Amino acid sequence: MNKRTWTTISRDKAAARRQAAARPFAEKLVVLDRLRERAHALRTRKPSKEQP
Amino acid sequence: MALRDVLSELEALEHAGIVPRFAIGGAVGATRYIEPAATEDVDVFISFPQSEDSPLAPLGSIYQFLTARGARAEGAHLVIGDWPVQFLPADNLLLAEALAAAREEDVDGVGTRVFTAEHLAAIALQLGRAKDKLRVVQFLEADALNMDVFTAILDRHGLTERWREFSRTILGDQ
Repeated sequence: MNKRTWTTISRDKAAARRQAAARPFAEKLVVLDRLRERAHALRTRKPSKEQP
Repeated sequence: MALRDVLSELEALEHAGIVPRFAIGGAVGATRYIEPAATEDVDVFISFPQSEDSPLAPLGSIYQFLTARGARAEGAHLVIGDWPVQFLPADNLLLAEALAAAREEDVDGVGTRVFTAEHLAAIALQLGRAKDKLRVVQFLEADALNMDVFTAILDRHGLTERWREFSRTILGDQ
């Protein structure tokens, strides 16, 4: 990957991060709720009885 | 119970006069300024009234008020709905300043208060754990800090040298 492409990707990613950070607080709190639910579901998931 | 409902309970706690002032810090507070990242609990910083017999007495009132409304005690946390909440005293100068300067927020009709980005970053720098250093980097990447305000806070609380070290080792500044 050449330097120009890498610079463009980095700049796009930084812009995307700033855009995500600028979203309303209430909206981002809902994301935290979802992340917590997902983590809880993963922790409490029963192991499958099926053999690989 | 979602985070908004937790904030609603905290608002009720303040309206009832149990705590004079509270503000959200930690990862949930940081979410106001940077991308959301999974977290285990909600850090709530409070000022304690000075007239109590024991320095921890106000925690008893908080627990009593919130457990009567359905919260349950679990270790160092009070679990409100699905979220463990930790009440922490703003017991050093930086935390006390952060609490005083916390900004008002409206979360879908619920009034709350969040530490400023600059105070959150300064507290993270003061704590200095790996996850705190990462948070400072996230604040910088999100362009969330007013650097004049941030460096003034660092100066007031003796963190300037730590910031220089952080800039040199983590950010690669010369």
